[in-house]
Amino acid sequence: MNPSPLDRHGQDFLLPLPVSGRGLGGGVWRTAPSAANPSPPTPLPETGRGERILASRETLNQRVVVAIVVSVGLLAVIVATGGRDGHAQDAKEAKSTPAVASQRILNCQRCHTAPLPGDEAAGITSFVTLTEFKVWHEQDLHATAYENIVPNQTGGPGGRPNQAWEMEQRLKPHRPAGYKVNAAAECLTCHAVDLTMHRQPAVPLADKKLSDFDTLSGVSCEACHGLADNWESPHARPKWRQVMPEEKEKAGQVDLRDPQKRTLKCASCHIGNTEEGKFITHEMYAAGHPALPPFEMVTFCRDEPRHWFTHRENKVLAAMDETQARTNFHFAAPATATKTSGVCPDARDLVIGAVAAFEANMKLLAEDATATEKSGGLLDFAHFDCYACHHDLRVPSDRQPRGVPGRPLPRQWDLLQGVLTNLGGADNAKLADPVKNTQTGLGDLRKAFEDRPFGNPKDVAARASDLQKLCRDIRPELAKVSFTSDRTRDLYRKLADRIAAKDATYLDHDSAQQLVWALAVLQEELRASGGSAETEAAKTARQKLNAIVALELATKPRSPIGPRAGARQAEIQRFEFKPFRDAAHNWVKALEPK
Amino acid sequence: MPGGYTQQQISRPFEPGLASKRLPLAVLLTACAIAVAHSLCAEPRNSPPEKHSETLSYKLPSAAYCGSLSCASASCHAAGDHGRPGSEYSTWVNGDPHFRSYSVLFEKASRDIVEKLCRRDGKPVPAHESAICLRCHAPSAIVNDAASARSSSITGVSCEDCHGPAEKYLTEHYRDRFKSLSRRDKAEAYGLFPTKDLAFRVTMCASCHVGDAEREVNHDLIAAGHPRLAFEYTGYHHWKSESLEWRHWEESAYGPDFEARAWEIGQVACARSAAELLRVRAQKAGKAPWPELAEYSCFACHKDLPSVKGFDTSRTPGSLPWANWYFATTDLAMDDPDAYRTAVARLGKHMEQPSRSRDTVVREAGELVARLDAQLRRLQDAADRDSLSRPYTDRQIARKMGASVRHALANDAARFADQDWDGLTQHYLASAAYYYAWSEVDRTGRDPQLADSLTSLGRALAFPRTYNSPRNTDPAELLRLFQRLRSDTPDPRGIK
Repeated sequence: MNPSPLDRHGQDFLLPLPVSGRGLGGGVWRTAPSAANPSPPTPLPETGRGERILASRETLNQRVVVAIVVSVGLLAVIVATGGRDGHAQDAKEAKSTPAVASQRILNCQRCHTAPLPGDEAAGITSFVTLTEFKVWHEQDLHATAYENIVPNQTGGPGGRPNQAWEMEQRLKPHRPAGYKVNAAAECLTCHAVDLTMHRQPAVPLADKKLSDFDTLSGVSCEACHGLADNWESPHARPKWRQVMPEEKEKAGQVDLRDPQKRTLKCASCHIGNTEEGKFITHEMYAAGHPALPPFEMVTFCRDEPRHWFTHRENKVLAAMDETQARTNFHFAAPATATKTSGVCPDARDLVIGAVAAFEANMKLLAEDATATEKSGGLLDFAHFDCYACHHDLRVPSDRQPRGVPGRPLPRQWDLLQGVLTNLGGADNAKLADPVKNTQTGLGDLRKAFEDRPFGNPKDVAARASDLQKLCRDIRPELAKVSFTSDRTRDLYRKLADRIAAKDATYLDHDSAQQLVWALAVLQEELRASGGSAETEAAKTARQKLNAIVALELATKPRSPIGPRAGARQAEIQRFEFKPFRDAAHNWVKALEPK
Repeated sequence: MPGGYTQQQISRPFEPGLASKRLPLAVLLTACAIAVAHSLCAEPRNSPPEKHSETLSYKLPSAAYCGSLSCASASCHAAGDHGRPGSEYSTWVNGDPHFRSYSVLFEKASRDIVEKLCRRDGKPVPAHESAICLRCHAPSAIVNDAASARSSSITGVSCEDCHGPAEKYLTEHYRDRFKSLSRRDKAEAYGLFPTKDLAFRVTMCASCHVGDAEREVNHDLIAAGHPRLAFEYTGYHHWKSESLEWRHWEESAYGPDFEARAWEIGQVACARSAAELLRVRAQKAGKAPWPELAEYSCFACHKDLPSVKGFDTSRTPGSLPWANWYFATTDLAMDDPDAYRTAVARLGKHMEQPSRSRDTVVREAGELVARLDAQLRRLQDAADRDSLSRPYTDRQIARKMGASVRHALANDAARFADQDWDGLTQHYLASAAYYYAWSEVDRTGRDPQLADSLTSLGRALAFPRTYNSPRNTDPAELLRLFQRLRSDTPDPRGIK
């Protein structure tokens, strides 16, 4: 007899955890395939479902076992050496936590790897895929976040040292004795799960210890969804869907369906967040950290790859009472060929994402500039446009027409500027002033950067703080804007103008890529809302553009960080604006209605 | 680029097939301009007269400028074969880039620079009327109050800019009794600059070609399009325009070891000027840009990513690396190389945190200037004493050349790869200078294999076409070439 799927987190919820390598979950693990999975967002290839689940479980088991063995070994070494190592304390703590750490992720794995028989009938798989864990584990780059920072002198391409090993060598002389990148809080805040994330006030970076992190699974479920201690059991009950997002947040579950919250969550690592101890300094980049790609929330989520249903796919939300769907799940009923009254949810998310990401950026900048002003140093170079300085010198140069030559500039924020132009015409009166002030503020911020080489920290702090506040005012108002197909088309044109107009001014690779990503999202959205498919001409133009700037973030299959970062840098080095602009122009043109 | 300057010329100095004294370097034609870039926008032409540096203990009198036409009589300096005595004026007109330094200010490239430089604030003053351009490009245009009256005859960097205002010596300097005066008397009594004093000469060149309290090419100006200044004296004095020799003098005060002495004095004099410029820049901070990015290694930042080939673990990753061009090889010309290196390294450490360490930088740069001044005096005295009567022997020069190559190769391959293009190019220029000195001193003449080694190295250091930076330089290839240079360098033990 199968228990009711909705009750699986009932009394028998706490499953026995493995203590040996015999296999996790034992007989509790159910592999019986359900009927056809309704259009999984990221179909997995080839193998049968049962085999895949087993394989995935096997891999994870091995990893956990290896981790435990390694930890025990490490402890033995430390005990033997009498804890001479400066990080012996940390390592000891590491030993004391792995069971807990592994348990955390296993709790998610148990339900979110494959639906159980009856799940579909119960309508669960119309709301969540129940393959989330599997998608994450097999395809998501976040799952490799910790592996990537484990130094290995022969683990790189061709048996050379891997990136982490090289970084460690370069940072070591400038860090306390015994420095290890994969035990350093400055790395783990983004490359592992920070178990102190809900503490108030936040634990300062300097006080975070190795034991404050779950390092066994990289950036896993709880890194984004919140530590599940208080909501794991209740969230599997049907009642949970009636609970307001604010209540869920009180229990620690992050309201990721809210595009604002989601963006801020992504941005905490992908842009930085001082409070959470997440900031890739120029020192880290110089030591070898790959350059962060520009951030565009919808693209990042799509290519994660997504392990959830979009607004267009989610049948439960489509059928739900409209107010409830909106207030509880931030649902925006999508327009289709037949239902033209709907909106373009991805366009909405893209706009909110652009504003919220910029806000996160300004917060980071304001905080660091304030600290810089106090210490009398220079703004960290990581706040600047990398390619303002890092470019071979050529004459004539595409860069010279921009700005004040010789003063390193911040990033261009072209996506945000395009978005603001679009919002300028929004039918929400509360938006008009803050949008206009943000546009002016961007100019003032630029002046603070141009005032002297590496900017005037005092002015930068003030301007960035103003911009942060403005965005915080704009953000909630955006949820009220109706992103109709017309508004989406207008946004599309505004962004396209920045990129593909024959007189478009210079864009560096990253700004160009960010705009192209946004345009691709909007194109897809407009096609979906009009019920049309991509034409052959558009596809050809897209492929040509893709050869200049990658339209997708991730490679399939998932490739190791070294070659991936190398390919990206090679693309940046090849990048020249004019060929890009021509390819973008053709791509945009191929989509215009005849 | 104004004047057709390209930095790849820096790395192509060595062409042994051509006439003996002709090597390097860039045509830093437009090489000079001044201070706080944005003052260009406001500063009018008639600013107070300025004098050349008073370093080197000459007390130069103030005197009026008479104009280069007063030198141009056919019976004085405007006749004879090009490059020969008596043709100084015509050689300057026909072959010397200094002659064109004023006219380039009317070119489009100069207009573009001014436009970009003034984008931040202020209304652009045309380059040919702007003091910060004229102080180097046409010093006579802004000295004395007669400037406007003479504006129709403004030339570039002309006779009196290097030889001193002629008022006191014009009617004296061709008389026998004047010729018997000492260098010092000619300078202090008549205002004829002691250009035969190499220390004085290079420091004077450096006042524009490196910069001083009144003149500089800072990062704003470079970013607006002005060529970067990278002065190395022996490289410059071999410059040749097409087929025309531009020098209008012979080095009669020195013996066959001139090249070696000029390299050493040039190194110390340029480093001295650079250290003094740093001191002034740090002192002016607030009124002028600080940190001044032109102080730092250009190609530490200006390179497409990724291009980290080696890694210097002594420096904080990603920090600002100071002192490459002017300090990479100077220690080879110092009597106390270790103490000197330590002082430079300490200053470099402070320059990693330029806004916190400004006062320390002012102080330590001042100390460095004093140290270099003392050495400069020692080197010049030795040159005056020995160059004609007891020049460096071929063995001594071979030893010095070997030391400069070993200096480049110091430590292991990884450390070699850490070196910046600036440092490697300076080492290459050092070897080229010693090569010339060696082939003058050594009776057996030139060594084609060594010449070929140097030529190959120069080619490898050259920037690719259309680039102003060393794109994709391969450290392994450079290492191989320096190793080859080492094996081709004459062994001093084999020289009798």
